[in-house]
Amino acid sequence: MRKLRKRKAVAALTLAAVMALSACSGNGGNGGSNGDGSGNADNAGNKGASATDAANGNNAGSTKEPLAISMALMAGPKTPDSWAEKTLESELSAKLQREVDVKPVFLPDWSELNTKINLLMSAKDTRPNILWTGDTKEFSKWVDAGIVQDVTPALQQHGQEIINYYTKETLFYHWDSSGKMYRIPGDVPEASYMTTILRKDWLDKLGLQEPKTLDEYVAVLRAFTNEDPDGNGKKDTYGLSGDNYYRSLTPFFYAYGIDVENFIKQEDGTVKFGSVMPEVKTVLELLQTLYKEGVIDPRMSTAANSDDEKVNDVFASGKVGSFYRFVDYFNPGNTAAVSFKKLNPDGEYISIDPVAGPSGFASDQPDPGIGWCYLVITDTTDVNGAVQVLNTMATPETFKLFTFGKEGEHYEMKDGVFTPTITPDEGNKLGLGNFGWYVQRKDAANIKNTEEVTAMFESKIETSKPMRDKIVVFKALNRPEWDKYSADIKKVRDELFWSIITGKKPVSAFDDFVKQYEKLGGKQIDEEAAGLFEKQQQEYVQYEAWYEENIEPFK
Amino acid sequence: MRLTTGEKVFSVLNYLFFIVVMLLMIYPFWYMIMGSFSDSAYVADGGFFLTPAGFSLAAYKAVLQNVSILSGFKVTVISTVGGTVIGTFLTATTAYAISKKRLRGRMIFSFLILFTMLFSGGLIPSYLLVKELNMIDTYWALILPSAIGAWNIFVMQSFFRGIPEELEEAAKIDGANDLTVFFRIVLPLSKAVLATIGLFIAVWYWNDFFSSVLYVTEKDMWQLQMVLKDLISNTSNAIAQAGISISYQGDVNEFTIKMASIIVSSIPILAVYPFLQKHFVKGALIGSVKG
Repeated sequence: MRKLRKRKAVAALTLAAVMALSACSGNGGNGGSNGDGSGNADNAGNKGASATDAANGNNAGSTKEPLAISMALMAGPKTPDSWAEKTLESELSAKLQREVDVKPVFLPDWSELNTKINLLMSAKDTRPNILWTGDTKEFSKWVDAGIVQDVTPALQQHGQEIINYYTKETLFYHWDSSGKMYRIPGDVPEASYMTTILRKDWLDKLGLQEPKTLDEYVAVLRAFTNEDPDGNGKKDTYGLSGDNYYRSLTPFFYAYGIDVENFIKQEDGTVKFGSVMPEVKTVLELLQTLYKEGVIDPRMSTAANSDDEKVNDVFASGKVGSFYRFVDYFNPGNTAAVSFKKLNPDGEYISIDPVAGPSGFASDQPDPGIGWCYLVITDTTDVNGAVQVLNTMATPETFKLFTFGKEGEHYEMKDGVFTPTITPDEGNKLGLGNFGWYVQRKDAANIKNTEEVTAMFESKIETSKPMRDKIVVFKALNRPEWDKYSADIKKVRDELFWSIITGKKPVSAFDDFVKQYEKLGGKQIDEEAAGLFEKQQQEYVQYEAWYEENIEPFK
Repeated sequence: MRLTTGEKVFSVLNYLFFIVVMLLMIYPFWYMIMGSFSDSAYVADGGFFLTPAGFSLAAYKAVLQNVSILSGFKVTVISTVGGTVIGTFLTATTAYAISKKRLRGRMIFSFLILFTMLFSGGLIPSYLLVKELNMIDTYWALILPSAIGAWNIFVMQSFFRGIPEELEEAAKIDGANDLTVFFRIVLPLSKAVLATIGLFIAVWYWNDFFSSVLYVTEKDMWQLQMVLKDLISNTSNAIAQAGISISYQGDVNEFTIKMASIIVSSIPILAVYPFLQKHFVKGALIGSVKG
């Protein structure tokens, strides 16, 4: 009897534990889907679209056997059986002179993305014909296992649009030193997508000129703070604001030719981590002074301000004179620009060229040009067919069609301004954006940019060049020492730099950081970087020869 | 009975303390409900609010018109109902069998079940197994792999052990076989534990998204939680990755959509609790009172 009682007690305890667990897991599940992040709900209402007219008409001229092609997709609303899919199929069928059946494989959300990709790739019958992937360490294993194909010969024959669109430098990062190319970039940002932004109406009101040098820029920021540019009699304006990332301080660091996030080529041919270069101290000193004077918005100093939506609100509020921020703000449809105009009908922002430092150096922040995602063609399909598909998707006309819809039906061009005639919700139902990041064009084919903005992006190629030439972009997928030590170093650095800027620590504390850097693994990082840089330079020589022979003649 | 001053003060503080605790628990739910009814223009800067900031049903309209959410609902309801029935049944039969001393080799079976709590085959082998069984993109893939859990079996097993042998012996004398005993004697006596385990399994299936990650490639077969996860995380990450900002969108924004989707997805499973509460409380007390 006693035994029984004991058992009952155990059972009760276990049940209690089970229920506690189940309660936790219940909450956990819901909390997990709560996610976090900013932005709007582009994906909100993706209703399945019924294709009415597009498909089924164009196959009369087919001469070859049909091509079924499965594509792993990550972008857009992920609408199944969409108008975009049908339209793309009929475009492809017409251009390739054979019936094409596109089979989308929609990838799950970002936290589970790599798991899904690894599973899909693990068996031949589930491997998509064209795989879209972000940064993954598995890629080299796929190459070794022979499950991804070299695209060079196919690009030569069928890939003109692709090899003309991507620059030689971009393709270098996707080239394998064995003389093959196993991947095609999916989305490469513009050469530089950020710019120095100023309040034009404030400049005019205070009788100031557009600044050309850092000194002039600082003078303008001071005037924006102290001379009541909004004319309300209160000192409630800031010279500069932005997020908590160093990119918002670009005008200061770049004027001295430094980027604290990257390795910088030195005059003696070596490379050095930007954070420990001596010029950093000068810049921090200047920033400290400006912070003390109230020129720099104190909200910049908290990580809470790294949310884009928060900065958009600051931008829209009209109390800040300057930002280093997105070129996209100059598109009339941009959320932040729309809100700003609503709140400040007379306000006007302009973009200026990067300001020059004491030595005359000036640059915008360059994008590394690698692309952040890429496409691989697996061993499950004919590589020529797959490249033909991708190449057709990369042609401006086809790209515009499945990305923005039909002109006149889904959007209009009013004086060169892209104006959708459907709601974002309807766009989602049509599946617009489903095929994004498959050779995403950022040139004039991106008609969401006004002509003015497209021209700005083009001019940024030149203005970001000085720094592009100085920054080392590593090609290697594996940087073990960097992976091991960089997180700690960056944490110490961020705490220290912001402490200096906000005046909690003296500028001299920077010297200690340089010493501490070595101890935190900086030595190993430096050695690894030097080795990789040298190897990469040799590879580039090989690559140039390969490019001359294998790509140039086929353009 | 008169309370001393000290006791009165204690009661007041006690009540106050628990009211505060209760508010802390309720506020997040309240916040979600109010957020989901808010006008997107007013919630942009977040903050604390007790009533909807503006009033709008746009978020619910967007969520309930969303075909993926509706198909997710369908998939989740089917797999939850199917999974709960199948899972509870299999768990009960297994647990009953290994609770009987006369089952030969029951220690081996118990050990094998216990073994799965400590070691699992890993993702890729599980995936390949399900694929070879041709269950990819079917409800079976969402239901079967997680239908039986070792933990549930052991809980039920210890419950069954508490049912007096004499009852079964009496039934046997009246001519019942093992199946009759199980279905007519044991199960009716075990409603409490069945409800508890059943609810546990149901909540598990309701919250499951990982099976969709593993075993589903067609979007029509994504579970609700998977659709929600994708809906909520996709836009913001896309923006961060590509370094661009987004274009203007009318009367809903990510915040209100997020809140409305969470409410819509939690209400059905929350609605199950009151009906099972009676059994649930009993289940929790089983064995604790001498009987």
